[in-house]
Amino acid sequence: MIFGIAPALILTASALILLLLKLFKIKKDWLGFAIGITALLVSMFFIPSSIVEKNFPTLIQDDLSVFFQFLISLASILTLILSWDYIREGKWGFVEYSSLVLFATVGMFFLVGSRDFLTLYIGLELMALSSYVLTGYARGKAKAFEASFKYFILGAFSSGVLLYGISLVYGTKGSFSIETALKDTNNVDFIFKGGMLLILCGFLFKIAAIPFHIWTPDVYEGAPNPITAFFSIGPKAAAFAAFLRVFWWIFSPTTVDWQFIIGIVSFLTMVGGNLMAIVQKNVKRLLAYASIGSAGYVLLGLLSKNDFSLKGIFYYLFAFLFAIIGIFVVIIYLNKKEYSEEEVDDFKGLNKNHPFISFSMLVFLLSMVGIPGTAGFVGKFFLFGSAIKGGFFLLAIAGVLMSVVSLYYFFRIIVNIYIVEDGSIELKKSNFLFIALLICLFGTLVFGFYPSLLLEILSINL
Amino acid sequence: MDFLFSIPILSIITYTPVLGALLIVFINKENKRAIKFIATFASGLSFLISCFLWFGYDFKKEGLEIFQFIEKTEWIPSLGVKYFFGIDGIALLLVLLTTLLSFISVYCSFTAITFREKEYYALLLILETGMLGVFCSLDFFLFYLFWEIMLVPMYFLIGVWGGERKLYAAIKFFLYTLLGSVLMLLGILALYFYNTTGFLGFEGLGNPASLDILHFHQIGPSIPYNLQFWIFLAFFIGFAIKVPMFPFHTWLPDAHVEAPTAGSVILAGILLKMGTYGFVRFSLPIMPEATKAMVPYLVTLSIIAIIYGALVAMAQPDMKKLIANSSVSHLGFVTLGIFALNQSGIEGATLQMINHGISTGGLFLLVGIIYERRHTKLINAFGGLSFSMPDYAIYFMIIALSSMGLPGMNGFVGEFTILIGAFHKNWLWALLAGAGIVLGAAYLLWMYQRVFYGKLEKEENKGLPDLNLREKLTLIPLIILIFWIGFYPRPFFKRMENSAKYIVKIVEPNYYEKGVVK
Repeated sequence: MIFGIAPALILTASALILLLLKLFKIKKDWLGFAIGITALLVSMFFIPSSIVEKNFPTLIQDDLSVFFQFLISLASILTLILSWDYIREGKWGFVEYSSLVLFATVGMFFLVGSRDFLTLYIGLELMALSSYVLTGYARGKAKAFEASFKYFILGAFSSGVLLYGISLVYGTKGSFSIETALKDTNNVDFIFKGGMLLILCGFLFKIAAIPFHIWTPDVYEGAPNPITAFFSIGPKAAAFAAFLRVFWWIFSPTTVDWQFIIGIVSFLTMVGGNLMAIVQKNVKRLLAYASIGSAGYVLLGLLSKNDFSLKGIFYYLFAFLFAIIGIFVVIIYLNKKEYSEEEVDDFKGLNKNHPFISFSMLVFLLSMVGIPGTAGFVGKFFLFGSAIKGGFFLLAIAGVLMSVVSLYYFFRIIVNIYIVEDGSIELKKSNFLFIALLICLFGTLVFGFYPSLLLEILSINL
Repeated sequence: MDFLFSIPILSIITYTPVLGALLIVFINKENKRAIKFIATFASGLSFLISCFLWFGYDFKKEGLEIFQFIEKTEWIPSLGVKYFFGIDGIALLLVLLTTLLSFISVYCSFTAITFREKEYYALLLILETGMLGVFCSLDFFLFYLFWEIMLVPMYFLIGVWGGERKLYAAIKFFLYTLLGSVLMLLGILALYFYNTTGFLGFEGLGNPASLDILHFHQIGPSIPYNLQFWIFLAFFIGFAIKVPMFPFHTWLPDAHVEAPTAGSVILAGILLKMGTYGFVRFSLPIMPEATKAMVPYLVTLSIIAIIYGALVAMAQPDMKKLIANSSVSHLGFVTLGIFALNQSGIEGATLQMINHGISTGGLFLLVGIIYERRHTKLINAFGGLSFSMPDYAIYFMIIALSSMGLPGMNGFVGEFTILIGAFHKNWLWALLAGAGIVLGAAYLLWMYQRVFYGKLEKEENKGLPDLNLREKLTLIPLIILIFWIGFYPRPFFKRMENSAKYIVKIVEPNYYEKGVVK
């Protein structure tokens, strides 16, 4: 088993080393960056071989964990790459920043691999606490402080709800083990059901599903751009993985009411998120609502529970990672002054001097919409497929219609980039950003045109 | 011609334009001559190679063998998705139409497009690849890929180089067509699950995963009716928006009027045909029972489109709007022919698809030519043009007459064949559709009269230069085709005969036994 948690151990050790560096007053930014990236790469290298036959009672390292851990590591690496210039400019110190990102990653690793409510909660809190600090990492910026505080209050509240739910379930079943607690759910009293409902609410909060989404736009808007990019995929993917573990096991044909609740939430999230995105003028708020909408699509897969679902959830999250981080790379490129308002109009005339960046942005947005040829389409293909196969026709129709709506609001950005041609935009010059952009573009297109690359691995293992 | 079967000729034709576009991306945007040359060369090459298909296609084969120039390789094994190209006689003609019209669109834009040429020609070439891919694909996944990717360049062609309300028109076009195609995607998914494991309420066939269109042609008739109905509906909305059938046509006038000339030519000439092609390729053979049940409604919509489109066209003050609305009317003929569900209906419809591409494409070219000189398309801005531009008047006359279906020209042959098909089913259909032809003559001749006859009164119209050589070259290929199809349509019918038969045999298995035709 020790081999199974090797990736997490590597990350923890590196994060601690980074903290020690600080203790010895070593403030070399590049060292923080190098250690962070190396640790993530090394742990990524160990992830595929970390599947173990015999699991801990508290941890499970199966294919699902491996896939999600891989995805999360990728998100963390990209986050570090695109934070470099930002943190350097603010002189906030990269060493601690790097260690916080690593700690958040470790938290997520445990979250996706937990088979026990306590581990799940500890993983969640490690992730959340690091996130609160990261949100406010831009010290001295009022907006960052506000976002961090909001996130902290609401996050703590949701953790409380989750914990309360866990204690109720523990109270009725007498075990923290998810498997034991969820065994034999046909004859259960209302306390257990209430506990599960609270756990459900806690998860829905973490994945920002409607009606638990209120915090998202503010946090997205207030947090530094690289961190917003990280939030929009990393913690969400991890929460989905845990959600999957807890609620995939509990769903059985006899307990239809859970499906009903998740179905309603999925519908509200898809429709509400996408419709509210239409009226946003601020790009980050727009993306916040768009990613709320995306959570609705993923819930669709979670709801229907068939061979298409897991592939769909994973592929979609993978596509979403490349697209959303790519979009944030472009937004960071545009930031001349940090915390200038990131308006949709800021993109005006981008194509004039920067055709490659504009093209990349187009590809990312098309991937978010789900136009074929991008990774986003393959993800949606599977998610809608799983809904059709599960018989949720109305939800599938709502989902595809909302994809059309998303085209409308994303193309407000495209219009500004390509069609309005007044003024020219000066962009930052940064090799790091460019590397991140290339990775995202490559991922979006390759997994769009040649899905087999990922799909064959998923088909064999899931 | 055997060597044609050993090389991937369809892929070569399809990807030549996009390679040209790639080349253009690496050229300095100030080097306009080189950009135009590459664009012309790439699309011209694609057209030349596609001409080999005309000779290489063996129209004597029957059954599944009508699909020729097959290319088949694994693409996404776990989904059963294959890279599967192949064309039958119907797709053959549409591929040729696409390569020809795209080629013409490239060199008709030389003077019309005066800014951002690099992007313009690159997009035009990408669009061509998308359209060719749609007609060549025999796998749902591949088909859907091309079907949607094509929307992006078209959006930009309208949005960047369009007229005053270009943004509105472009996004309306994109939203409408995307709406249709996402519903089609759900239909495709339903077919996929029916073929494999089945889904809620429907037991699957248990076949290995596949999205092979020809495979679905075979299992199509066995799909239970209520499932067929829903799948038909999902596909129908996608295709009906694309055609566009009444009442899904409202995006069309906007898109046509705002698009640049080449955009209109391609939109009218090829994009609209994808909807009708979709009916022939998917709806009829895969959902035959549902199609048959829906025929009364579909034919009603077609006839409404024929008459309504013509009446609306008559009331337009703008030449481009008039032609755009006439498309609704002409496409009504095509859908009428398709839903007559017999050999002549489908043959006529296919020929009429080609004819409409030639005639309406030609009319848009002509309007584009005058717009470049006068910067207006309003009919009452002209009058007496035949005095200042005599050549132009002659070309316009020929193409307008072909569009209204004068005997000896292409439109007549197509419409006549469709009417035969419709008459077989119900004489009333033919009668009502015939009224559409009369109206068609009315609005076109009336427009012609107002633009070209009368006195040359307006000062601006007096010194207009007549057609130059390049402009004539855009029109001459179309005029050759107009008379070729008008006088000797046999080669065209020969090529699509067995393909139409293949479809009718699936939809109406008893059709040939009755001895009605052959």
